[in-house]
Amino acid sequence: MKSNKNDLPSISFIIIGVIAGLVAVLDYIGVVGFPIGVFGVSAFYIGAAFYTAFAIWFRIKGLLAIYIGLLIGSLFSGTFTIFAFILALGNVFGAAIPALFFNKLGFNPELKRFRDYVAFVISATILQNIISATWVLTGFYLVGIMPAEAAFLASAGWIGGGIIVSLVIGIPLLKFTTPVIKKTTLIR
Amino acid sequence: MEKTKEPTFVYYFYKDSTLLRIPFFIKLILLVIISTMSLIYSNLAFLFGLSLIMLILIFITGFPLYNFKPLKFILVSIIIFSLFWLLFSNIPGDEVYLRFIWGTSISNLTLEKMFFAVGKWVTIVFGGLLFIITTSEKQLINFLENMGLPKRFILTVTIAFNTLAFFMEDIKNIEHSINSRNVRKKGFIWMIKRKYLLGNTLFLSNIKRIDSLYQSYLFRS
Repeated sequence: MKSNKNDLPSISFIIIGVIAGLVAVLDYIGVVGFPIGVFGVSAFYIGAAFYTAFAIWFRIKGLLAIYIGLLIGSLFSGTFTIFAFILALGNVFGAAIPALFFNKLGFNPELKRFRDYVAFVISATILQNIISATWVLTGFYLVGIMPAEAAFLASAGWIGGGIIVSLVIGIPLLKFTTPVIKKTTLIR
Repeated sequence: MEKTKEPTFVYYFYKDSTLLRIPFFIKLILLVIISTMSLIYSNLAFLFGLSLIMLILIFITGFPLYNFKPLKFILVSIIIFSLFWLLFSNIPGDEVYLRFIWGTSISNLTLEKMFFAVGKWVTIVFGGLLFIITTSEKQLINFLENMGLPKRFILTVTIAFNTLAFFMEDIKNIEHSINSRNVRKKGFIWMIKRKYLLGNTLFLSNIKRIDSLYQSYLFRS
């Protein structure tokens, strides 16, 4: 078969593919955790902290990988339904916030200065969780599988658990793993 | 001669199994129809009847549902979800059975709406489960190819599936090594820290692998 130069895939697919595989495994470990009563959502979902790091390191590639990986992960964790698409998109929107903070506003993902920590707390712990929770829970309310009265408790479970996970996992992950990542050719 | 088996996402099927041989496209359309009908059509008999049919089909496939790890998560989710409706919804009905001190109550309409929501949820979960039990990744990738999606996207999904297998294997090894080092402290923070150890070790142990794979593709232009 005659090959066309335009048919050659962009080299990014390898990073997206591998990170998507990693996200799928992290989703599988994370989802079989502590359910908060909203479809497919666990409090203390450890994956979220890793998605923050992937989005900061790999930017748009990382966000695409998170979306594909979460859908693949839902296939293995038995939660593949139409809600999986809403959930995956919520996680992607959430992870995009710290990615924007650290890549566009000039903060250092190695968390060397005090202001980097402040940026992390604002973007990755507070805004990321609020945006993901709002997107997903509003979606679930609109399709009629969650009562409006449960929104407060479900949000509290999501945001509270998410903040703890971001602080306990996110900070050491960014601080100690970013230098390792920077030594590779994956980040340009 | 013993029959050969083919893996689906969560189960191994005999290659000549009828359920496995149903075209991917038809399974997907059925899943979409079941999900849409469950969301639109609010009839309890319909919802639970459909769930029951799917549950019977799952049992016919021989899938060991009781051994399925995420089942516990799904069941606990349904229980907490039902409690949310009972404790925190405030739907006025003709008959009020119970009033709580925080102002909400359980009426006949609360129960009705709760059963509708649980019915919708259970139907959609069973539909999704039946779909993933009977579908292999080969079928999914063939379908994506036939849809005419970009090659790079198909390659991305293929790589994700291929790497997933060795990541799962790595997870088992790392868990074993964490246990053998006796990291058994209890409590929420330690539960999260254990997962951090697991995820970070998995990532760090594979980052060189990813980098060399990436470089080898770069050198081949």
